[in-house]
Amino acid sequence: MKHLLSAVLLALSSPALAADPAQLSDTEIAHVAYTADNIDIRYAHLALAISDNPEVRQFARTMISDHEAVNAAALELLDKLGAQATDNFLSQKLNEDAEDIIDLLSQLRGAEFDLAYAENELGYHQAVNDLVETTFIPNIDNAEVKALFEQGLEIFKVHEGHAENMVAALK
Amino acid sequence: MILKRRQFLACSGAALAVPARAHDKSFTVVIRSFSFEVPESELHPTDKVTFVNHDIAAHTASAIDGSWDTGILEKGESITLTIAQGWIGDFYCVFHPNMTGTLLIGSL
Repeated sequence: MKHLLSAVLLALSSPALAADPAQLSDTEIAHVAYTADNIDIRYAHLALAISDNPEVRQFARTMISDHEAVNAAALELLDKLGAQATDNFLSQKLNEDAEDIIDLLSQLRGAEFDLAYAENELGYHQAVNDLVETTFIPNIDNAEVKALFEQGLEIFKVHEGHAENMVAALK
Repeated sequence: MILKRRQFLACSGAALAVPARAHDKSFTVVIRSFSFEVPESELHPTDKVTFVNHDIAAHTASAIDGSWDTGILEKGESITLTIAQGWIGDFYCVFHPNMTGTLLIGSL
């Protein structure tokens, strides 16, 4: 079975990545987070379209619920601050790489899909959590944006644990 | 013995008097940082328990045997349930299965 790399891992390991994620502004970081959330929501919808496994389906519903909630909170905060999320190289790379992963996942069925989806979710959350914790949070200037990211990280770490359990159960 | 009318009414009133209810109390379960902050006291049927969600993520509090369920609580939402006879105390969040709690539910 082909090993899938999460969109974040692909993006960060690309030699074409000339810019440094640590140099992104607060509004660009917000855009990356929004993009990362939307990518996971897309993966979840794919899982609901393909998987019959109850645990995988419930995990996918949780991803949709939680990532939509984080996005709503982020948009509310940006609105309050009078700011808009700014597109950037990392968001674009994440989206490009996510297309490749969706192409791979959508060709799979049954238990093969379930395990591939679960492993991708684990890798994706590990990579996103590392990016948020070590690169984004230390470099965010606005205290409210930083607090929101800290709350988001708490949620995504729960997802990482949930994905880990899901992978173990499917192997 | 034939009671006088005043004595009869006093006895009847005493017999019909309802003892003060020990229950019908209100409790709160705060949902915060993916955990349930539950009351330490014992709850009983007819007591009310309010679940309030302070997280960004939506949660549920769902009895493990299906006997009760708050339904989905979005950020900031709350719901008050009245404890019924037969309810089990162990519950979890449907979205986040590792998130569990226990209400100490006694009998009526």
